[in-house]
Amino acid sequence: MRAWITGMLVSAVAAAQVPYSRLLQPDPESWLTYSGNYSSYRYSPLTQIDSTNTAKLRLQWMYQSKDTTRFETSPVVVDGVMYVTESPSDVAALDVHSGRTLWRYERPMPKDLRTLGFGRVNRGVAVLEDMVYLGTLDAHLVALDAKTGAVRWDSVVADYKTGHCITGAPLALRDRIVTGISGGEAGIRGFLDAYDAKTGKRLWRFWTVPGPGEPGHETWDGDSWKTGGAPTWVTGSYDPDLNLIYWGTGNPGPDWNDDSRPGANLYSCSLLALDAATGKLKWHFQFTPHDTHDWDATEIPVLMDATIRGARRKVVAMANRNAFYYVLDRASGEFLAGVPYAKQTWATGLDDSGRPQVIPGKEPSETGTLVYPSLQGGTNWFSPSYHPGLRMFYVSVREMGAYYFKSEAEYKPGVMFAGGGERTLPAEENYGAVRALDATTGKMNWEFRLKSPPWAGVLSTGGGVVFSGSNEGNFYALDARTGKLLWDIQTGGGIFANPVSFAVDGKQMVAIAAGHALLVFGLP
Amino acid sequence: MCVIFFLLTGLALAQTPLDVEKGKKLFVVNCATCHGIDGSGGAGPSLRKPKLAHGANKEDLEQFIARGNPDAGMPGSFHLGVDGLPLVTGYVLSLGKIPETPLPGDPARGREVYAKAGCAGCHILQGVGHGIGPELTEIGSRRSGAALKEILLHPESNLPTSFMMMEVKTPDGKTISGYRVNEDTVSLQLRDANGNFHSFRKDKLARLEKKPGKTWMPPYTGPDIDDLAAFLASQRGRS
Repeated sequence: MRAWITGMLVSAVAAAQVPYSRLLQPDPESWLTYSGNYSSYRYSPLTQIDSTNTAKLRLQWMYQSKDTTRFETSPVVVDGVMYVTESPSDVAALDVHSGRTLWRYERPMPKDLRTLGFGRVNRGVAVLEDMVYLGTLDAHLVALDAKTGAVRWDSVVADYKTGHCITGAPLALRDRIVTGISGGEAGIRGFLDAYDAKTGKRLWRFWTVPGPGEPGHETWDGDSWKTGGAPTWVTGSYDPDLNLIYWGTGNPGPDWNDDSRPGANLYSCSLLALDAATGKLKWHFQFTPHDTHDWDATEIPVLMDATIRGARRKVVAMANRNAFYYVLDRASGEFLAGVPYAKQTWATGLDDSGRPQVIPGKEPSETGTLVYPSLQGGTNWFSPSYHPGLRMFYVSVREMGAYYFKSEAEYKPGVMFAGGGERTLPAEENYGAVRALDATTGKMNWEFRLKSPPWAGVLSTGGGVVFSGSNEGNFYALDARTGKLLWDIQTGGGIFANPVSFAVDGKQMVAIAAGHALLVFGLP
Repeated sequence: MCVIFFLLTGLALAQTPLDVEKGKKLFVVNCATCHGIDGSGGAGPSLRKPKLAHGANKEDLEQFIARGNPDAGMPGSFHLGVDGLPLVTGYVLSLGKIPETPLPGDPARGREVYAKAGCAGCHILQGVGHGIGPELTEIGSRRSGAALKEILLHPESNLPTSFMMMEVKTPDGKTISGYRVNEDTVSLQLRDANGNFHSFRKDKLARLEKKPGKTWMPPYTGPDIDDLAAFLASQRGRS
């Protein structure tokens, strides 16, 4: 029996191929992209685990990362193999039956590598055909052989010495791999790149801070555009019919000191719709013009169909770090709806075009300015989930305010270029929640309160279950309709990751990274 | 030669107010994003404490800041260089310092006050006593005499930020009070007045009440309070 299973596994591994057609229609037994599908639902259609049996979930196996840095991986699962990433920029291919390691890719980091403004983490890989793609802390994009982990190609994306890093998972399209870049606290000039999947040759680059002569350049003063930030550090979404990539951008640089950059600072804190073939901008929507609170718009853009004011629309929704939930037409970028989903004290609301009506005097100051949300936002990089059947948008919410401070900022290559910071309110005054929003209007259906503002994403499933985790190590399941707690387990380590679901020989599994371990749960 | 060397080192170690100000500037640029603009913490831990988790002395701390703590997501700061590193380190150390005020009390008499007042009923000092409240063996390296006197006079106004007393009512009607050991989204662990641990599922409790600003420690207002404060301030580790 065991030999038979092993034989099956070997043949499955040998045949592992992920053609583009599979990425268009992901089979529910696999988890093929960072967010589960191109629309970034982080939703599994599997129904075996449901609200009646979740309480019977038990650990199937666990994997211990080789590194004790925060384990923020979102696994990708293909035909019996799970690909996890761990610090600094390593990949482990695991047998989904046993959890045993099939191969590892370990990448030594340059001694002088510094991550400015974030930890030495990696959030996941992309797969296409017989390759696994990884963005690295030293700002390379690497293609690995899916069967062995051998390097097929290794392309330099940017110079790590100037604070460029990659922590997010790449996005694989038909024949190209799209990757973003980190460095919003290092004074980089942000961009989004596409590389030829077979050769690693760069096909296009879109600069998220326009240069001289380009539209939007007038929103920067003098040379401030050269260090304007707008990094692209979280994985975006893709609409194959429109052939548009949707990707969020981060804060303008320096974060909290805006003296050198009067203007809207395009395309910082924006959602970009780019032509996948050329990298040309189709439209943009700036959530927080001239941001001074580090409210990156790098949250996951979720693509869905919705009926708005009686008309069927293709929309994109985002729970933004600035504490507002937005619904936009994804063909045109037109603003359709926007409401706060978390406490915010910086705007009276949004006008008809979605522009925030900013309350004066909320900018960072030398003595500190109290504003909700804190600089980590109403939510952050961890993923929301969209349940297409229930039309609910589940988001992990951070209810927390902070005093924002402004200080001097001078650009030096490879050094922090932030110009301030925050002092958060005492822990006892903060809390977290998973909130279920009506996906079309942003109206809250229910919330599940958490002890502290979380760093874990949300998964929803066809079985009507929502999974997420807490800073204190609780991994838990909620009823997707009501938010009622169905099951929880103490994992012994903080959860700073997104859950995924897949099946092994017809048995549904849910995986989450907690502490320094990856835990896989299933029914007995 | 040797003498000159020591003299120079001594000068280099002496920290002027200007150095602290320079260190603060570097801190705000390089460290404040995670540790808070005033070092009170944010994504990273608070540094406003006399005893930090890393760096036993200034040299250790300087090396720690240079190397960083990648496991916890803290980048190294070699770029601050031989001039910048000591300045930042000095500033970080200054954050936990409570200004020393001359202590009028007599530590030897304070030892007798400690015994007479029954402090050992709730505190362990040099291995002796009951561990209901915090251990006091190193309290002198964590708090100044003036701060200790203030705590003795007004314990309820000087509680650590994470400290919370709680009272719960169990489904069978029992009321249990205690210090919070842990609280997460679903569970709560308390330690009661006898030092016993209690663990609860929060959704099973009939009542759950926080008691902010409450502690079992009674104020001490005796005329010999300066002696007691001086005695506690002299406790700097196991003898």
